[in-house]
Amino acid sequence: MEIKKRNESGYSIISLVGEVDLHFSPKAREEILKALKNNENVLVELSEVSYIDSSGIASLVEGYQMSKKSGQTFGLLSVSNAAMQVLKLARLDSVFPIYDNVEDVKD
Amino acid sequence: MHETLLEISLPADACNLREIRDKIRNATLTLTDCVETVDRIILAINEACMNVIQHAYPNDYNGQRDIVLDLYRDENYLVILVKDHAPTVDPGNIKPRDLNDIRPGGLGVHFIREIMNEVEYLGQTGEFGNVLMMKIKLVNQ
Repeated sequence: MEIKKRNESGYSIISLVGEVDLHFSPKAREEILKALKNNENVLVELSEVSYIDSSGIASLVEGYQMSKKSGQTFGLLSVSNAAMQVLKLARLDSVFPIYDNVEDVKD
Repeated sequence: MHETLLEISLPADACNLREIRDKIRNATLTLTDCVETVDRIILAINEACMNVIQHAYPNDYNGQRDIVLDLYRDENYLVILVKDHAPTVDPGNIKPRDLNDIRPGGLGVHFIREIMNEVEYLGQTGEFGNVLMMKIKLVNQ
């Protein structure tokens, strides 16, 4: 897995690339929580995620919960089909704010 | 008909999960023409292996710390056995979480039960401390 980060339209976009499994999800979690602790509004881009397991989903849930407490923006961006299948299986596709583009984000 | 598809034994370490997934994909690709079904099978087995890695072996466990995976086809079913040498776990302690309770963790057991047609904890079996048996019916679209 690879993690890329960029700023766009006032959001910190954390892109997860490849297979987000138990071996790599701690790095994703660390990057997401670090950005939120730094008061950034965070979008996690999943367009290049080819596989995600429950540990990767847990990292996203943790970020979502932290943002709810702090009032920051947190959402998922350009979710790949592979990631969406797992979000649906977890019934989380209707819990996370999910956007196709940064322009669609509503604070 | 009992057709062995895969028999592997690997150290119970997260760094081996990708190799496990690759081997499962190669072993199951010809079983169904539905790519999504193969993806779901891989996810369920990955979650079962994760449970062994994260929960089965105590930190101070000094014995053989591995995962043994058997996949075979039995008529129209794919049968998966996930075995370990860890201390035997009480199956009553293995529960999925309430999905309405949004929190990190606890999803793995839900994934397994949602994907598989049958899930059974066989407990101590032979040399193994725990054996999880999962079955999924193979349906071509």
